[in-house]
Amino acid sequence: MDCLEQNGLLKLLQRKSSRQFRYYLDTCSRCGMCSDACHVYRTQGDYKNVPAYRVDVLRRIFKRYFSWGGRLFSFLFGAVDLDDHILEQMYEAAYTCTGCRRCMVFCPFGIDLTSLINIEKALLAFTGSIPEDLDMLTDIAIEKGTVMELYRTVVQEQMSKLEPELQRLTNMPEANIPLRVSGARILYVSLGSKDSILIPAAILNLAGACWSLSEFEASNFGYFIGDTDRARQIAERIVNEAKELGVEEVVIIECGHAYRIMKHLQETWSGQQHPFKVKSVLELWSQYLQEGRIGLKRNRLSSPITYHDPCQLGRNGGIFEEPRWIIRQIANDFGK
Amino acid sequence: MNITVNMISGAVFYLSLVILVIGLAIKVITLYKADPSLSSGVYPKPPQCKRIYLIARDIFTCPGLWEIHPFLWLVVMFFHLALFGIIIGHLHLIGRFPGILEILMTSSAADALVLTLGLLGTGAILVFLFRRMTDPLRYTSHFRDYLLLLLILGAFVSGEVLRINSVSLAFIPESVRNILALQPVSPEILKGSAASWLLPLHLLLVSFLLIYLPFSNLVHMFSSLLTNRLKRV
Repeated sequence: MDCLEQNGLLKLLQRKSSRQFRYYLDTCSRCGMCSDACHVYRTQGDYKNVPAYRVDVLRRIFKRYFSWGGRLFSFLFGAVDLDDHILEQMYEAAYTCTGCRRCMVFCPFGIDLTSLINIEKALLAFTGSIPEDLDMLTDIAIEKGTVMELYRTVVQEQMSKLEPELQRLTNMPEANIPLRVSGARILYVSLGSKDSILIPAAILNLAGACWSLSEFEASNFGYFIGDTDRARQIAERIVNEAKELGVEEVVIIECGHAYRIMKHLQETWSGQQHPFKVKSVLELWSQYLQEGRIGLKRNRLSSPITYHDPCQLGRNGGIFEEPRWIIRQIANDFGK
Repeated sequence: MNITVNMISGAVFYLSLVILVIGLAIKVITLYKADPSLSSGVYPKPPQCKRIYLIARDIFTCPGLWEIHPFLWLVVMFFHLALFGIIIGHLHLIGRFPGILEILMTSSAADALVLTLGLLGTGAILVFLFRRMTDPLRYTSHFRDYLLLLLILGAFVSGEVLRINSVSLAFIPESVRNILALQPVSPEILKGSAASWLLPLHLLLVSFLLIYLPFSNLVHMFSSLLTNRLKRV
């Protein structure tokens, strides 16, 4: 690592060291409670997957360059120089965390270790140490936002091909998959795959919704690589589309990360409030069922059934009741 | 010997208090100057009226720890209970408590209670040390983590032995009051008792702890309020 890159990394680390970051570094006692809470460590048993170990890599660098104690008594604090070797450790640490934030719930101090791991990912992104496929998908998503006109015809053709299947599925000859409907009430954001378009499109048609399918996919690979700037750009494509069409609600497919980004993070990143509401499809389906706009065949599942909250939708997104309510409509024996 | 004892119970102890205050002040200023936090706690979000109760519950009862590690929860509770007992005991050395607390602090039952707490506290530190030295924590532990535990252990044990040997001697409370009144212990008074070396040793360990406190994760005694608050935002 050359001097220029090291200086750049240290400046980035300094910029990222918010008050919250400092609280967390000061408070963490490395008591190891997070190890029992981490499903990766519990299944793998490798000390490198202990959440406290994952963020310790970052702490050791921070102590070395930004604390008097670490500068003077590096042996005491385990402070280390920022070099390629420690970045390799950081890579392994950052990309074995799923970002579920279960450790935060069980930490006696409530430390959000994932927020520290996101800083590690941001440092790695600065040096270009990113999983190649994620990096490529991030660039493609951003590029798609800038040249959407080139893709538009292709997307329209693909949707037209899906419509006969949709009409058979709904038994509605007029059922369609609308794109770029100005003044639509709902902008539905799928994952871009057939499954994530066809079934929701069927429900939206059956409910008689005034909707438009987003030209963009909900997934945000920029967030996965901790690059807030690129993650913001990806989410901004959908925000701009929603503003352009003047929709009242942006409805996100089940993808927890996408929902969390649009609902809770994008406004902070961009510094602007959404002029629309953000909902998960689970909230919308639950609303339609309660309003009687769509129906369900009750008691279809007789065997015992349970529901595991997806981390990003539940713990990190706040959606708990709606999926349970929907399951109760079709299951005879639904337990916790 | 006299000069050493005078230094420990005087200059070193006072210097440690000064470093403690300056260290904590620097910590507060550094945090104040840092960018405000962008918090996003976990769901479900409690209603405003319940938030303070939940933060207090998280800090004082560690429900998450109880859920995944009941034995360690007990150890942690014993340790903090012992610390609380120590603080009360030291306050008792400085001044008298009125009413029921006075009776509690002077009865023989109180002696047994303090001894029990001391032993539980010591046991808890040994458990913490054992955990640090075994997998997987030994990989996340640095020299400072061991140093901190050893300092606390040393202060605990020396204080406990001092209490068992010398608590009945009138000069201990008097010596503590003298130290706080900026008139350090006179070695002549200590001559002939176990306190002649135990009290300086205890003071020395406590001084190191006070110096180390603002730079160690002992600051969690203040900052856990802030971090647990962020979790509930």
